[in-house]
Amino acid sequence: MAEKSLEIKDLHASVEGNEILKGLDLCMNKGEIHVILGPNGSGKSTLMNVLMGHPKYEVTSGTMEFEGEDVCPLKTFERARKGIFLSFQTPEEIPGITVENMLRTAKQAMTGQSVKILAFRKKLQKTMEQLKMDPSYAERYMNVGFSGGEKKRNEILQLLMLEPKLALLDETDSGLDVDAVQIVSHGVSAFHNEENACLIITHNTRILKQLKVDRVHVLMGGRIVEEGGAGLIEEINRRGFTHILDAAK
Amino acid sequence: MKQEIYSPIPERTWRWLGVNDTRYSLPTAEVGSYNKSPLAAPDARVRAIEELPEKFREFVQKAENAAVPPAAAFVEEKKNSGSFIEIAANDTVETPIYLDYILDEASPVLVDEQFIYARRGSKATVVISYRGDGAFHRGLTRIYAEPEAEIHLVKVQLLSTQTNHADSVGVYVDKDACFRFTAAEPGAAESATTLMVQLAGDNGEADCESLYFGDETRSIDMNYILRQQGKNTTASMEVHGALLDESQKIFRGTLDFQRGAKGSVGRENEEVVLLSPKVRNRSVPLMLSGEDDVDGHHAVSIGKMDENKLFYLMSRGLDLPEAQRLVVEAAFNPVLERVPLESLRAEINAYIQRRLCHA
Ligand SMILES: Nc1ncnc2c1ncn2[C@@H]1O[C@H](COP(=O)(O)OP(=O)(O)OP(=O)(O)O)[C@@H](O)[C@H]1O
Ligand SMILES: [Mg+2]
Repeated sequence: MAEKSLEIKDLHASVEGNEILKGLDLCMNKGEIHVILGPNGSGKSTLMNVLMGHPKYEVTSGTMEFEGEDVCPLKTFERARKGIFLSFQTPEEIPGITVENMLRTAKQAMTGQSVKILAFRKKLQKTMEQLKMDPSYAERYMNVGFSGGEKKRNEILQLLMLEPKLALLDETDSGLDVDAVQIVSHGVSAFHNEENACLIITHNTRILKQLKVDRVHVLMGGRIVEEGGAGLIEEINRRGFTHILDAAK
Repeated sequence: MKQEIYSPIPERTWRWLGVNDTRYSLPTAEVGSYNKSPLAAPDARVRAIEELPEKFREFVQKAENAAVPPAAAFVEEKKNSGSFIEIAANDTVETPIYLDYILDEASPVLVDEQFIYARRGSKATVVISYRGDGAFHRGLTRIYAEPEAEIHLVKVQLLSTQTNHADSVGVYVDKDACFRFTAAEPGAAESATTLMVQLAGDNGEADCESLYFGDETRSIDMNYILRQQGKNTTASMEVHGALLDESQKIFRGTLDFQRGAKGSVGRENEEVVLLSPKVRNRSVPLMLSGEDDVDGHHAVSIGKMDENKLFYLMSRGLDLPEAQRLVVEAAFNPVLERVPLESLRAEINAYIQRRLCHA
């Protein structure tokens, strides 16, 4: 039997007293790629923030397990060190900290070992090349003055450098031009293997071209209302979310 | 028992902020002796302050303006150490002259008076550090830079959180001379520092960069005044700081363009990162202008490490102290890069690291 990566059961979560997630279930195995589709405001980013432990969100009931371990009691940095990675829908600008410095410190924190500067720098440069990022960005402050697309590419750079076990990608493809979506998609496929899992939120199917999607979940009103194989993407593209909601009723 | 005196800032404009006066306390405790040599090896350019020739008094006097006057009187009277450093005309001193003062049980008090006389066309860097654990330090450093001299003063203060620190620097810059100032003073329980530079001659330059660091309940008081008198002078003041916990800080930075300072340029910039909602941060940039033909700018940027930024950093596996360390290091690096001694730079870093781990 395949090993479980992420298992969410009857998850309820609220932000500032408003319940956003209302009994969400989701299960995925190692080696799989899952996609979450859902209209704006349905709670997709909320789910990501809750999985990563944003202090503003409160889990009121339900469970979340990562590789068999309850993640609720863990702090954000502990979840990251266990191998959960979130590519942010809107990455933060961190003035003063360069991309290289941030990544080196993060890598050190993740592995608990000191990172050899030269080897690290070499890998960073290679990965930036792969993502067609100008090497000078390594010396720039994290996301400061980056264009929307550059910020997203920088998220994938972090994904490839930190090599987590579960990648949560929150609309990493939005705001990217055609070529950039290709590059990011290639990046995700380079990352993915039998030992890790990807959970991808998207409004766009182009990012999925390079990837073999195992399962699709439709999130509406804080719950998964429909699930299926890769074929579901095509169906939603054709008929929209309302149709799904009607069918689910 | 402490007796307190106040140093006025040039214009009484900020009364409502409660920032008009610098708190510079004069300890009444016994000063005692400080018998250690601050020099690692004897240097012919460095003599005891008592050996200052009488004929140089007038130059000391010109730099005098600079310091909080009662502080100067206090230091002159009570000093237990200090040096007179003379850089000969056209001499370029490659290796920094380094004075290292260490407070400890045997010498818990330091009152130092320094006078640096940079003769015409000379070039030198003087580093003065105050370290260790003691009761208090009061210091006064005066500098006279003759025409075309270039002098860089680096002050490093890594005193323990039990020690009280107040230091005053006064500088007279003659024409075509350049004064550089670098201060890395993250230590002490309470710290009050003043810097007063008088760009007296034409084309004089002052280039000042400092860092401050507040944590726990520390209080920091900084008062910098760059007075531009000569034509075409250039002054810049760049201050970087980080405040944590319940620390408080006030920074007064004044660019004072005096009549006749035609074509002069002044820049003042402060960047502070607030890492806790409980800090008290006050910035008082001030520009005085007695001359129309000048170009002055000041800016203060306050960066708050908000919840979302911290969440972003932590989602990359950094815990709070690590995230704070990155932010603080980033803020301080430009200033630290100006400290010319590698070992001292490492020590400043280690000191700040220790303080952050504590937090
Ligand atoms: N602080 C808050 N207080 C109240 N409601 C909030 C708060 N933050 C988010 N919400 C609401 O939660 C709902 C879900 O938001 P979320 O960002 O998870 O949507 P999403 O599915 O990611 O949408 P999109 O596709 O636009 O990114 C929205 O209706 C939003 O307005
Ligand atoms: Mg979203």
